[in-house]
Parts: sequence; C-alpha cells; structure tokens
Amino acid sequence: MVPDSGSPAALQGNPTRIIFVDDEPHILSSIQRLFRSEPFDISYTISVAEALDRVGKERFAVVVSDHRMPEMDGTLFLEKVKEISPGTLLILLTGYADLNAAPEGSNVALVRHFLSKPWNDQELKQVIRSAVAEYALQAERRKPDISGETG
Amino acid sequence: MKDMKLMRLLGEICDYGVIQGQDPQLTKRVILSNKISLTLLSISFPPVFVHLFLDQKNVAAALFLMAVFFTLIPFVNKAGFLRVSRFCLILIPCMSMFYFTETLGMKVGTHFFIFPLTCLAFVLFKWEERIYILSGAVIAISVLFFLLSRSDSAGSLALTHSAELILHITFSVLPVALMCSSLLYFLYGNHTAEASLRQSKESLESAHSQLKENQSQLLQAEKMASLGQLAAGVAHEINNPMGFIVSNVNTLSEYVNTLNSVLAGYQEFAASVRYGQPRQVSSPILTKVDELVRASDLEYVLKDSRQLILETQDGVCRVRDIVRNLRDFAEPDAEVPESVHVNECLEAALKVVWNDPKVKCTVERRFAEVPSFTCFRGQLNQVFLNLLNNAVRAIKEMGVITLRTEFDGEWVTVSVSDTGVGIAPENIPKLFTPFFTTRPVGQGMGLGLSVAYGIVKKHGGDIRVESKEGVGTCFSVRLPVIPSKVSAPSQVLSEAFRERIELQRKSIISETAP
Repeated sequence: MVPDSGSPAALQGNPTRIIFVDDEPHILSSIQRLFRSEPFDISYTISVAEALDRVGKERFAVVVSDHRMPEMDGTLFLEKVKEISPGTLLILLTGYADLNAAPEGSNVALVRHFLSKPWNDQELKQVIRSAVAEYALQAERRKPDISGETG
Repeated sequence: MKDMKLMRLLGEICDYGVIQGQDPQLTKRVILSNKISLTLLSISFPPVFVHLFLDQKNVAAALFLMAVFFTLIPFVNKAGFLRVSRFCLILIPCMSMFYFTETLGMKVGTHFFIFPLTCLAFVLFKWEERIYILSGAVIAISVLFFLLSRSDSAGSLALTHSAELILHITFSVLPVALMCSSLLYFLYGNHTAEASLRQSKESLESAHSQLKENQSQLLQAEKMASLGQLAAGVAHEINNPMGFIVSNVNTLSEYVNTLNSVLAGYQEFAASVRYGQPRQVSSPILTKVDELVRASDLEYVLKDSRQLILETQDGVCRVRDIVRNLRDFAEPDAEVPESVHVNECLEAALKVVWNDPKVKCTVERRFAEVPSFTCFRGQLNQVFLNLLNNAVRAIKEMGVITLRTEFDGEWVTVSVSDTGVGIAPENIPKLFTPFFTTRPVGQGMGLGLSVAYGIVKKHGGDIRVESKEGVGTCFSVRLPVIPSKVSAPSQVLSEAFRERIELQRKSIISETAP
C-alpha cells in the first residue's frame, strides 16, 4: 500500500485534517488501516519536506510525527510546524524508551502528546480523537473573536 | 685520559650484576658489594709485591689468593650469583684477617709503609658518606703515624713506641672492626632488603589480584555499558517494526472477524439453497450477506490482507535479523573462528551504531571485492563497532563517514574515516592506552580503542590512525587473509589489559621503593 500523499481536498463539509509523517512506509500503511473507518481526512507522507510544504498551504488539526527520520529529527520538525501553524496540535510517535534522546535545543514542551512504538491502537485512536476535539474547541474559541471583530 | 678510562672501567665493574628493572634496593647492594670487593682488591694486591720483595712467599701467596677472590666477586655478580658473591665478600676478608693476625703475630714490622696505600682505595671511588668518614679516619691515622715516625731521633724509618702502638691498633683492631661492621652491614642489609622485598612482593601480589578483579569488573561494566547503549539503539530499531506488526495483527484479527461473519452468511445461504428452501427464505439471506459485504468493505479487506501479511512478514524478519545481530555483539566470548567477510561485519556494526539518536551523518560505502577469511566474527564486529562509534561521536554537526575496504592479495584493509572534529596531535600517542578518553565522565571509559587494538593485534593485524584537527580522522585496520595464530578470545581481552597492569605495577614498585 503506497502512502497516500496527495489526498483529495475536503470531501464533505470540513472534516478534520490530520497528517502522519514517518520515514517507514509500513508504519504509515498500518496506521492507514487503523484509521480506515475514522471520519478524518488523513494524509500520509514519508517526507518531512513535503509535510512542511503542505502544513504551510493547508490547515491541519493534528500532525503526528515519527521521532527519528533521516531528513530531520521529529522534535525539530514539530517545532517548525508550530512556527508555521501555531494552532496545530502536535503528537510525537517515538521508538525510544526515554525522551532524553531528543536533541539539545528542541522544545519538547511544544508536543501535546508522546506515544511510544509499538503503540496501542485504541490509545492512538483515543489520543487523535481527543486532539481533534481539542483543536475543534480552540477553533470554536477563536471563532467568536473573529465574528465579533467582523460583526 | 688514562685515568678517565680507568674510572670508566671501574664504574663498569661496579655495575656488574645490575639488571634493568631490578629492585632498586638489590641494585644498590650489588653495586656496593662490587665497590667493596674492588676496594679490598686494591688493599690486598700491592702488599703481594711487598711480601715477594721481602721473601715472605706464603704471605704473598695468601694475599694474591685474596686479590684473586676479590677480583672474582664482581664477575660472580655478573653471572647472577648475587648471594654467593655476598657470602664470599663477608667470609674471605674475615678469614684472611684472622690469618694475617696469626702470621704477623702482632708484629707489624715493615708493613708500616704499605699501610697508607689502603686509604687510596677509599679515595678512588665515590663513596657514600660513612665511607668518607671511614677513609678520613684512615688518612688521619696514617698522618698521625707519619708524624710519630718522623719524630724518631735517628730520622730513619724506625718506629717509635707510640707509632708501633698505632700500627698495632690499626692492623689488628681496625680491620677486624671494619670486617665486623661490614659483616653486620651485610647481614642487616640482607635482612631489611629481604623483608622489604617480601613486603613489596606481597603488596604487588595483592595489587595484582586486585587489578585482575578490577579488570574483570571493568570489562563487565564496559560490556554492560556498550550493551546498554546497544539496547537503547536496538530498542528503537525493534520498536519501529513492532509498531506496525502489532497494529497489523490487530487489524488482521478484525479482518478475520469480518471474513468469518461474511463466510457465516454465505454458509447460511448455501445451506438454505442446498436444503431446497423456497426463494422467499434464501433471498433475504443473500441480501443480508450482500449488505454485510458492502458494509465491511470486503473487497478492500481481501486485497489488503495480502499486503498486510507481506508487510508484517517483512517486519518480523527485520526484528529477527536485529536480534541475530545483537546476539553476535553481545556474546563475543562464546564463539569459534569462522569464515568472515568484513563488508558484512561493517554492515552489521553500522546497523547497531545507526540506531543511536545522536547520529548526524551520512555514510559512504566504498567496498571492494575482499575475500572472506577465518577470524572471530564477534570480535571483528566489536572492533568496527568501536571505530564507528568514535566516528559518529566525532561528528558534531552533519558529516560524512566513509567506510572503505581494500584487498592487496595478502591483507584486507578496512578504513573508517569521518569528517569530525579530529584528534589533537598530543592525544594521538595515547589513543590506544586503556582508559584514555576525551569524553566527559560517564560517557565511555576509554576502553574502546584499546580493546580494538588488542583484538586486531591478536588477529595478526595492525591498526593505524591519521587525524587532523577540524578536518577528520581515519582509522585503518589491516588484517591478514592467511590466518595466523588466532588465540582464544578470553586471551584477547586480557591482552588488552596487560599493558595497563604493567603500567600500574611499575607505579606500585616506584611507590614501595624507598
């Protein structure tokens, strides 16, 4: 199964957009299987550059990243995502047992949730769902402000 | 010039029996016994001629014999019979002194003019303080003797009563006192030297066993440390495939549930058809099954199952390979020589190092066609692992590690070069010394390269380093393809520590020595 990198735009209404980044295609396809029946618009990519490019162009509610990738460390990648899109919630899926493995200078506090590999399917789903809910709540909070300004 | 030559010769003779690395106390005693025998030789040799001149042949012969004995003593020392020489040195003068006292019958007679010669021997050499005092005393006595003999009215060499008394004393009492004191000195010296020897031997032995114990503990600790580092890296490498394996198996179980329920529907339909149920009965069943198929996305499930199983199999194989590699590294002791291909070893070591989260580099492989040869696979892996580890740690920013293998018909050369920080020139000679490390405390014990060195040496190869600060470092390991004597792995490890133990032993010796 080839990771779905160029996912079609929002299908119905405004489904929550999520992107998974991992240099391991098998992990992406297993996650794809897992979220097959979830009501999210999920993109999968093995490329950090592509992910950053898309984060700049589209709005993602949640970005889930691998920790160790050949192009860029996962925590650094998530930091960059935070710069581009401050509202996006960040989740790190790490193969390391401890977080001391994070490179110096990277801001681990930015990451909303850490999940370790091998992950528990139910837990992963739960974490994604709650992140999506949180994102929706934040969006709700922002909306009245905008409407207040415009109206 | 001649004097200088003589002095040099005497100095050489004094060093007879001295062996490099000997206990310093023993060396001191050997030199002292040589000096004393030379002194006694110079005392006893001139009187031989005097006695010959005086036609006292028996005395001359005795003196000559004595002189020969004293000449022999340094050579006995040189031959290594240190105890024999010391024994002779104590015995001969005493015996001869008794003989002379008897022969002379307390009548010194014409010996008086020989006497001043005795002090020459003392002046000839550099002596310790007490010998100076002794020779000073002898000179004083000689001077006194001359003064007294000159006071003789006849002006001849006839002796006054007091001069004769002094001669009497010097010839009978002084030599005996001298011999007794030297005897005491030797006995005492022997005793203390032996005691201190025994003591230092004991302390050496205990230090050695302590070191041995520490060595095995350290080896274990080093092994555990590298194993821990390995485990952290390998955990990551295993967790990745485990992630999708676990998830895929869960999904597969859902797929199987789906397939089961669809299959159950079809079975129900088949049964109803087989038992000739009316269409009204079987048709809704089929509709229900169709609905189930659509809802469960059976087409996708069937198509994906194959893919899922393939991916999972791939992951399982990866985990199996990692564990196999890990075993090769974790148990280097329990192995036998086997045919090894260095390119594979490098790949295996690379796999282990590569999982380190701090790795910030790319790898260039320039592998040549190299033959396999017989050696200890695990140990070679350890060598390459240590070299790669150093290379990886040398690279602070992004860098390149180049792995190169070459073969020149006799030697396989493996070089690991990095574009890292390099090694300071003053550190290069210390690189292979056990416990030398430039890393901060707790980040390595400085055993990696020394262990690598020991292993490579045991395989009959050598290991070289070229480094330039700020440019990079290149370690080259040369290994012979024709197997030389490859010894047991346990010896390899102890070999790596022999140097260190030797060093520490030396420092202990210098501490126990006065």
